[in-house]
Amino acid sequence: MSSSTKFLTLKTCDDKKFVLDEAIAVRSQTIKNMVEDDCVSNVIPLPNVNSKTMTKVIEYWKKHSEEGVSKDVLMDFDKAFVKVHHSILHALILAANFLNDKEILDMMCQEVADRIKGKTPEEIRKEFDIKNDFTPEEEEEIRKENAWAFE
Amino acid sequence: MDDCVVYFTEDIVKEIVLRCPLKSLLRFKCVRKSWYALIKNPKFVQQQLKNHSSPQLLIYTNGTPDDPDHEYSSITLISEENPQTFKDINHPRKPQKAALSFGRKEKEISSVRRLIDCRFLVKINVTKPGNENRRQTPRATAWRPVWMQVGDVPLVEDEEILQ
Repeated sequence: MSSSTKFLTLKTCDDKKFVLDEAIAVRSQTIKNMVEDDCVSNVIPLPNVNSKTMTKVIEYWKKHSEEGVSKDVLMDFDKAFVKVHHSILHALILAANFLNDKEILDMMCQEVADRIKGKTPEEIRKEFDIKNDFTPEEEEEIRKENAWAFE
Repeated sequence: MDDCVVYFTEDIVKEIVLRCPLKSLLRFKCVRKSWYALIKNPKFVQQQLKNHSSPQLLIYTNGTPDDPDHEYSSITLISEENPQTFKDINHPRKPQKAALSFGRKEKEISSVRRLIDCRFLVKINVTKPGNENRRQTPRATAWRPVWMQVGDVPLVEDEEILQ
């Protein structure tokens, strides 16, 4: 029995719906598990993902599901794909984490790493809104230990 | 500017930090206590080394980080298969007579300082036997990061950092 193309409807947290070929949507391990466990009703809610982010994810999924795309084309696509404002980048990481798409997660984490690797601890704290919980003495001690890394 | 701040879980932070080079990690240790703990975690270090085409064998110091006397009590070589004690470097603040093959030349390590668990900063005595250039008097190099390996395999330097 050949199954014709099945479509899934994904609903993002801002109530936008995306109708997507199941074969593409199962790039998300989370969705795949739902499909396999047969717990997919008409609409799959994605409470942690907004439509802007989901549009990007689907753009990636579709490109990487196209037939006959050369590796070079995909590489160029990926390069362009990660060149986004950090707020979108962060949203994509959270979405990829929720959707359990390791490919996107890896790529995005690498991009963040590349962007932060030259930064100082102060800049990192600002970027991630992290509160410094060291005392000035403790911080000074760690800085001393690793002085060459601050050169 | 979009001001929306995203809070990453520890798992995601780990995934990101794992992909940073060594020098960044050492700076990032003072971002926050949880980052410090993460970066010093031997499991994390092993994974990070793996990501960065590392040697299979690593050296690591025993001792607890909070113990002021922990440094350099002994050095353990760990491989993916099983950990085994490799060599004791009792107190690397005193120069060690540990000659290690470095490239094709023998180099003597003058001192060792622990970086993060598996990695060391060493000062290496630079002498080039058979190549007596008058400018080359034996001297210790600046601290340089190395991963140590056993046997004939040369020390691996993180060249990126040395620049």
